[in-house]
Amino acid sequence: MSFQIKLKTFPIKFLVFLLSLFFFLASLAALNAQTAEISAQGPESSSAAAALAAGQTAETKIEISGEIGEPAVSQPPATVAAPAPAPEQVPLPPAVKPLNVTASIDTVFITPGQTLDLSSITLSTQISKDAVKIESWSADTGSVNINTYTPPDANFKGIVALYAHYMDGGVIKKKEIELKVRKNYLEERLIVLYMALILAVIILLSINSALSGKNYFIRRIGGLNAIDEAIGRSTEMGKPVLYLTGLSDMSSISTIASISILSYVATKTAEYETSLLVPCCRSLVMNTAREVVKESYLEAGKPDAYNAENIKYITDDQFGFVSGVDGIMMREKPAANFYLGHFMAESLIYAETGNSIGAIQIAGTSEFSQIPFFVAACDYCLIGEELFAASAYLSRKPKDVGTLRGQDIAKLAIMVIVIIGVVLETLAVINPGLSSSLGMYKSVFQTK
Amino acid sequence: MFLRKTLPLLICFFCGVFAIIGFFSAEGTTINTYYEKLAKWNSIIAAFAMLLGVGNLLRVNFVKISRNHQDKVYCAILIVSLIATASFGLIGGVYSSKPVYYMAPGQNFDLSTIAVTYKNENRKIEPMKIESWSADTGSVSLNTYTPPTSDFNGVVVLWADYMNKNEAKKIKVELHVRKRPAYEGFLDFFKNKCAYVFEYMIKPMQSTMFSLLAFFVASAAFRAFRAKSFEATILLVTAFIVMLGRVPIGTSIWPGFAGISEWILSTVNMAGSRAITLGAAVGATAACLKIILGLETRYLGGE
Repeated sequence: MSFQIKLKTFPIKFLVFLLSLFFFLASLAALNAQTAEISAQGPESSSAAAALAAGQTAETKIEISGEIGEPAVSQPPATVAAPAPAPEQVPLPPAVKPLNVTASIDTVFITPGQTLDLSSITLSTQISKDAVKIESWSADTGSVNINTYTPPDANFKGIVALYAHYMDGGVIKKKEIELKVRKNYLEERLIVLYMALILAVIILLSINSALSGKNYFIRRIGGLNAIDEAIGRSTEMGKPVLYLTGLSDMSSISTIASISILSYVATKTAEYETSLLVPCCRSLVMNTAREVVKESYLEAGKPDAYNAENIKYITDDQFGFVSGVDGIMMREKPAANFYLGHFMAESLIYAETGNSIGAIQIAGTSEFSQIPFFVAACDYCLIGEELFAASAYLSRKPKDVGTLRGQDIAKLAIMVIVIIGVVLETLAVINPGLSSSLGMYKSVFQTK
Repeated sequence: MFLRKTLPLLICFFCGVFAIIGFFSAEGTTINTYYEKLAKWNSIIAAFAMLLGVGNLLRVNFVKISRNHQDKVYCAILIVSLIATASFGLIGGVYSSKPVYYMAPGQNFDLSTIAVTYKNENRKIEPMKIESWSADTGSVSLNTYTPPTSDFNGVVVLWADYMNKNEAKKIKVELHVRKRPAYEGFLDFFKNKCAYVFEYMIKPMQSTMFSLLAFFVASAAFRAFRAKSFEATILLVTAFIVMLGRVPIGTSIWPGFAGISEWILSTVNMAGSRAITLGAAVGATAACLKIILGLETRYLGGE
């Protein structure tokens, strides 16, 4: 028995030993280098040391741009360089520190057809804040004089580079200011505002209708029906349930949707007295998840079954988190894995590791690029908006069901708009005379 | 109840409404300026929340060690690594990849200490020949830089000129002319260690995890592409065509694979993608509306 224990702990001890050795050697090497850098005063023969003796120190990394190759880390040469050709002293202008000039504004906006009053833009030195006289202006397009910039034409939209020319030590220098010629935000985003308002009205009316007692049909979502089955399976097998909310913080709507589903899952695990593991990638998500799970356990009448240590923060780093979660999967062997939220490249790593331990897996994300991975590797997958519909599906409360109906009406409206667009586009190909009406249609829905 | 539910809901409502108004306000207006500040607050709160996470991490692992948990050795390694890396970063500061050199006033700088290397076509690191040097102030030769005056203090920009494919190119090097206190060298030690941890420990480990994907894609594809049903057969055939269109051997067999593959991706796949994206966007908007109006409270805990 004791031999077995020794065998088990040997790799760990060996790893600790290796790690300690590594840290010790790394520290020693770094300390050596640093000592040389700080105190190399002796008559060393190397040019690096000679330079250091002269009071110069160097950081060793250099970035090389251009086509020559990738940047590489370089070290100062340890030996004296080959004799160089006789140095040619290149006389340079007298030493005058260049002015560090800042503009009163870095980016300016005008709408098409407008001219820009340049007198409102001033230059000053960064430290003393003294005003710097602008000698002239130039621009990469349009016309410009000392007071005004005029775009090339009345309909011009785009970004213009404006240059304010000033004198610095007898030399003309220039400061770039970005000019954006475009419609103002409200004008550009008006269609978005209208759409959002229409959507809001539809949803609120639907909620009102649902609250007044009207029943609405909700189509069956396989992945959500399987939640109870998955938790039940875990309970039967005496194994925990693993729940991931994804990579994003609480500012992501996917994470909030996931937290809503977690509330339901936690209620079920509390009822079945099954352990629920929630490793988190963000500390705010961890705190929110703890609150939600705790409340769910309280509501289920099982506050004692709640274990805060099961909801823990691992790391913000994407692949660090993946390795942490994979480790939990391999050690704890959960029987049901839930991946609901915002996932990126790590989605398939979770799903395949979960598959290798034989867990029933339910995934859901609105991230289009990750859906194929979840579909391929998981038992059930919530696609796109099903993630947001999940809380309504699970709770069946009128306000949630009303929201779902509102979403469906909005999607129907979008489908109609798309179909009209397709028909108009097709007709415009057949009959070019219709292209002007198509242009009008496009202009309504096109935003930047 | 007020602090747990009502106040968060009020904050959520006001922030949500303010963000909507800010989004539709013109740039440069007061509301838009504060809207942009609100977005920055999010980052600041997230940075402070990091302390919560670190605190939790330390507590969980210390508890495991104190309870003599079977994984206590891993817990110890985690705590040591966390403290060591954090110390390197906190003491040394952020490591800059820009090449920065230092020299004391009144001295000449030996330019041969700046060794410039590059990776050739075979990815071998080779020294690069510097044709000449130039500087924004002071005088410079091929081997030595001399500041303009003996008491000159400041930052000098040096340019190393080299030839690449018969084209003259430059590399910028910053030279700080000032007396360096000894403590800066001490700080450099930590700064370099911080960079070392990221470059030679964290990055390779991240790459290792990422590279697992290649194997997982193969195993997932093997399971998913079994022709068990009509739909699965369509999936298999489509995937096979797309795969052949994306690899050189496919176009060698029949050049048409590339065109079919491109059509599947840009037409069939794109249509599905747009439908899912539009649906998700409507869903997200509805969810946001519910949160702003306080109709969705589950994220605060309870119903």
